[in-house]
Amino acid sequence: MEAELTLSRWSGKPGGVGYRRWVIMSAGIRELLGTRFFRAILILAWVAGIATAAVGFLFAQTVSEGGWLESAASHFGPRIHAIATAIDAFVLLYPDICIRALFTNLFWLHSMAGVGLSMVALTLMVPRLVTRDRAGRALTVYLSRPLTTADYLFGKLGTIAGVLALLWTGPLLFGWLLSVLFAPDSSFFLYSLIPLMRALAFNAIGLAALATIALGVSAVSRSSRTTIILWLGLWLVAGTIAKPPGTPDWMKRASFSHDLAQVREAVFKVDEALEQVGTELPFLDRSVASDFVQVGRKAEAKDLAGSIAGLGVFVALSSAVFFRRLRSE
Amino acid sequence: MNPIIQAENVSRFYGIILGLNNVSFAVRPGITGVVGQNGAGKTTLFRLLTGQIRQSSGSLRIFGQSPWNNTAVKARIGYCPETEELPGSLRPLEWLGGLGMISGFGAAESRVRAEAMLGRVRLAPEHWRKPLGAFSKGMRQRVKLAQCLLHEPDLVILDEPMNGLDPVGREDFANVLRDLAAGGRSVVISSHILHDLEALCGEFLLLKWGRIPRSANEALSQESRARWPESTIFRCGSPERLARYLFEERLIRGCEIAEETGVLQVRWSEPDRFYRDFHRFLLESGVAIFEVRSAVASLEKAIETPPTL
Repeated sequence: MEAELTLSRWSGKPGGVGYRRWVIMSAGIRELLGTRFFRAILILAWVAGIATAAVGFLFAQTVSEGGWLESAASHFGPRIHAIATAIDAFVLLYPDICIRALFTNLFWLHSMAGVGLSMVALTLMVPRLVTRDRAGRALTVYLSRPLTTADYLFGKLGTIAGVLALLWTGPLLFGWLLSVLFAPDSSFFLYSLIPLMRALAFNAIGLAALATIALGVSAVSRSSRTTIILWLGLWLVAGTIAKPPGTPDWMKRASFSHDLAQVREAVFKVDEALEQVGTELPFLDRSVASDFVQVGRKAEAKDLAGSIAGLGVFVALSSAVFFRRLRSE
Repeated sequence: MNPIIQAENVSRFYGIILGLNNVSFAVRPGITGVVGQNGAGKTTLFRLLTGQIRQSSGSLRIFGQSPWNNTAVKARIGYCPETEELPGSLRPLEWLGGLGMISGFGAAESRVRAEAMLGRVRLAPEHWRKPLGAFSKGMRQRVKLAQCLLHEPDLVILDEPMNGLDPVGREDFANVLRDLAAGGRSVVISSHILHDLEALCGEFLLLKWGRIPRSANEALSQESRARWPESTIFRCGSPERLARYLFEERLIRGCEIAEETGVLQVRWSEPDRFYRDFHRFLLESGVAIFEVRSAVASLEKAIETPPTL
């Protein structure tokens, strides 16, 4: 071997704790982006974002004065044209109710796609988070460097947050931005803000819960197969068991996907938005108005406190497993 | 010289299982060997030194600070663990590059360092782009040493780094460590290959069942190891004739002869007198000498000694 060091001593200042956490986070995301399956999921997620934008755009163009609906209706005679003009006027008269209801439902639907795709992506990620590091005893090498367990945790949380931002938050904001960018007036921006905030709030709750649970599951075993099976079991099997209406509450709460769905209903308040449409918009046929209220009630959170408690237990257990496993390394 | 590592009454328990039991020691700059049988507590000691676990009691200071969760201390330590498992799908440059970035270097700087260190541990460049899973044990040891030196640490801790290396590889390895020590770095190394360790280290730390037996460590001290061996083996043309001569000179108090292999093992009565003038004695004996070696290496002897606390 060479008798002398070929390097001069490092004279610059090595990156701090933030840089080291970023290194762990970006390495995880880069690795995932290298897989074809994840790239396919990513495309689906952005298709969902584009679909959100398209629906918002179409709605805006439909109801705007002189928009395509009005123009198209004019070809079918004065009667149809008058109806189309009445619809436009309807939104112009009650923009708060109409726009809020539209975006609430749109973001609610998008959140379903976001959660679903995130769950699939996490199935792919779970063995890559902690499992493989433990299996290869890489933690011994990582933690002998200027890196603490907390740095490692934040780095991994960052990886999950980054992935969920790519799959869920990014397409959501993209969809909303395109919708309001081409809207005829500022009321679209104004009245879509509250649904957007609700969507982002649920996004944050979902991210925190899913990230913690995924890390806990990933830390359970050194075997990738075991952690994938456990993740799928908690997500799909427990979720399926929780679905039937007659299932006892405690069993429903044992499914984090059910708990998350309950939190979603409580955060989005789709029931309130639809009920407002049914009760406050005039000119609606009584049965149509009643349908709105009925549909809204179906989307009501029925066991919010229990679901929050259930999610809390999941998060607490996952955190305990994560720290316990890392400490024993 | 001020000690780099200072431990006082350090204990580490894993539940009811004993890892280290009330050990006190100091490690000064240079190369220090940590010896002990399996389960003696070497890996526990190394994990304490690298700040990965915390002592159950006592005080441990490295560079004057506690290493537990202390990134300032960890930044000055390089650790080569005993485990041979490496991320099999990664290539050495990727792995080292990532670890360099975890140490705080930029991507370009990490790559430069990774290449330099792989060259330094003599891993041929044609292997740099192969996955680590395809590496032999010896090649993996070289990559592990490279990751350990990547950030030019002041203290290098090596847990059984010579496992799987051939004699040439071990000599290469030893040269790197001597070079590090000559450059002012400190090295703490454990190995089961005791004669290599004995040739390499200036100081030793002997662990037995989680403790540091005082008498055995005294036997390993520099002063003690500077003394002449109490027993010597000669491989020669006529062991019987050599034994008779040494008895006549009153140099030995006992011997064992294996005539068929030409081996004579003697126990000295006056080793100082023999070793100071050994060439004259051996010439005067008129016996052809093929090999002279100490009967028991001091490390082996120390390890085999029953614990005296």
